[in-house]
Amino acid sequence: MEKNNNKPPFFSTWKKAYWAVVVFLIVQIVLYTWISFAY
Amino acid sequence: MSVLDWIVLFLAIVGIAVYGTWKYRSKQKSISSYLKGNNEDKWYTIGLSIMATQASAITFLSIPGQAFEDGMGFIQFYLGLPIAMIILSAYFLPIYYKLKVYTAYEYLESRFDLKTRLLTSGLFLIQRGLSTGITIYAPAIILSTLLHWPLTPTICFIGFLVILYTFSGGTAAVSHTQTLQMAVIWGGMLAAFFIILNSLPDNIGLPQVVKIAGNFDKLNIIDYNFKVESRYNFWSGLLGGLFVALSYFGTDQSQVQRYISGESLKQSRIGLLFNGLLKIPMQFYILFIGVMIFVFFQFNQQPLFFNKIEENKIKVSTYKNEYQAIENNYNNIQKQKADKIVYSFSKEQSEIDFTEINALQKQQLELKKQAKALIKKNNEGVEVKDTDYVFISFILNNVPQGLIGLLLAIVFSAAMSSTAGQISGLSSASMVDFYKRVFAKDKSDKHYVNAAKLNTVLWGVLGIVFALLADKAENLIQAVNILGSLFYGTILGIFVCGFFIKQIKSNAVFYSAILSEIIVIALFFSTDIGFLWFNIIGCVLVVIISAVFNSFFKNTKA
Repeated sequence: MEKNNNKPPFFSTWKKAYWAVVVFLIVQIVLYTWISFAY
Repeated sequence: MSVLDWIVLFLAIVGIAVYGTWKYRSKQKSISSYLKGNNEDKWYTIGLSIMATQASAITFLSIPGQAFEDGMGFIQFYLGLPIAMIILSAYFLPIYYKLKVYTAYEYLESRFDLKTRLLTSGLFLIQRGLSTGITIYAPAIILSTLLHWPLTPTICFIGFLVILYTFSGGTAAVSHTQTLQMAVIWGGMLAAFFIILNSLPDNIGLPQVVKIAGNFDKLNIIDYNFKVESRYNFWSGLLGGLFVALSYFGTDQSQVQRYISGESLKQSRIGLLFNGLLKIPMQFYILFIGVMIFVFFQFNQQPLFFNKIEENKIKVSTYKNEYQAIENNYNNIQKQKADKIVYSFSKEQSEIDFTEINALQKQQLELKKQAKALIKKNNEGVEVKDTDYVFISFILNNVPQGLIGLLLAIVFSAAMSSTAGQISGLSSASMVDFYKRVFAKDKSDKHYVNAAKLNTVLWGVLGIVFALLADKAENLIQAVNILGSLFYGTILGIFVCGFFIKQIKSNAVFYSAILSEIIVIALFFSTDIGFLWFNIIGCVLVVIISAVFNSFFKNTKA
C-alpha cells in the first residue's frame, strides 16, 4: 500500500527515488560531456 | 547461415511465440485479464516490457549504423526521458490508477467529454497504426535484402507470430514474452561486444578503441550549441526529448497499457523509474557497439557500400569499371590506414600522431562519396544512405557460426516485442474507446473479450498490409520519430490541459487540438524546424489556444 497518500506526490516517500533518478542523469551528462571533450 | 544458426534463430523467435501462446491460451476469460493481465505484473516485468515495447528492430539496425556514421550524439534524444518518468510517476500514474482506466483516453472523458476522448484516441490510432507497419517493414526489408529472403513472406511471418500470441494471451502474454525477448536481446548484444573486442588486433583493447573512436569524432556525445534546425543537441534532447517521452510514455496506449497492468501503484512506479534509470545506459551501449564496429573496420576490409544488393547492381552496369577503380583505390587506402594504426599503437608512446591516418580517412570518405554518386547515377531512385545495413552486414560477414543466429534473433525479438506492444495497445483503444463506449454498450464480458481478440487480429493484419505497402524512408528510425512527433505534441497538450489547468473546458481543448494539429502539419511542410521541437510546439499551441478559446466557449463540465 502507498504511504503518505495525503501529501503531494513530490513530497512523498518517493522523493528519494525521484532524486536518485535525477542525480544519476546528471552523473551521466557529466560523464558524456567529459568523454566528448577528452576524446 | 549454418544449421546451428537456424536452430538458434528458430528457438529464439518461434519458441518464445509458441510459449507465450501456450502459457496464456485459456486464462483470458474477462476483459480485465485480457487487457490488463488481471493486474498481476511486478515492477521488473513492467520495466522490461516498457523497454521492449520502445526498442524495436529499428533500434538495433539503425542506431549502431548511426553511431558508425555520425558518432554517439543520438543519445541526447533520450536525455529528457528520466525526467519524464518522474513526472509520469508523480502525476499521471496515480490518476490512471484512481480511475482504474483501461486506456489513457478514458481519463479524458471524465475530465472533458466524449468527443475529446475519441479525438485523442483517434489520433493515437492513426499515428500508431501507421508506425506499426514501419515497425514490421523496417527489419523485413533489411533482412530480406541481405539474406535473400522474399519480402512478403518475411513480413507475414513476423506479423503472424505476433498476432498468434497477442490474440491468444492478451496483455499478459505480451508482457511476459517481452521479458524473454529482452533476455535474448541482451544476451546477443553482450555477445556482440565480446565478438568485436576479440576480433581486434592483439595490441588493441578497450582503451585503444576509445582513443581511435575519439580521433574520428565518434565520441562527440554532447553538443551544447543551440540550433533549432539541428536534430540532436543537448537542448533539443533535454526539452524536446522530455516532451516526446511524456507524450509517448504518458499518453500512448501501447506504453500506458504496459504499466497500468501492474500489481499496484507502487509496482508500476518502480517499473517506470527502472526505465528512467536504465534507458540511457542501454542506448549508450547500443551506440557504443556501432562505434566498436567502426573501429573493427579500421583493421578489417570495410565494404565501400554496405547495401550489397545495390552494390551488385552497379557492378554489372555500364559504370562497373569506374566503380571497380574507386573500390580498388578505397581498399588500398584501407590497408595503408590499418597498418599505420597498428604500427602507431605498437610503439607504446603516450601520444599517437593521427595526422597521416586522418588524411587517409579523408581520402576514403571522398571515395565513398564518389561511389555513392555513381550508384545514384546508375539508379536515380536508390537510397544511398547505407547505415541501416552496417550492423546486419557485420553480423553476417564477421561473426562465428551459431552466434549469427543469436544476433539475428535480436532483430526478430525486438521486432516482435515492439509490434506486440503496439498491436495490443491499438486493440485496447479501438475496443474500449470506440466499440465498447460508442457502438456496443452493456454487452457481456465474454463478448468484449472476443471483440478485443478480433481487434487484435484486425490491427495485426492492418500492420502487415501497411508494411507491405511501405516505401523506403530516408532513415528508418527518424521516419518513425518524425511521424510520432507530428501528433504527440497535440495529444500531450490535451493531457497537460486536463492534468494541470483546471479552468480549461472541453470545447476549448477539443477545437484548439484540431487547430494546433493543422498548424503543426503546416509548419512541418513549410519550415526547417528540427522534428523534436514539434512536440513542444504542438503541446504549447494546444495549451495557449485552449486558454484563448476557453473564454469563448461555455461548457457544463469543468
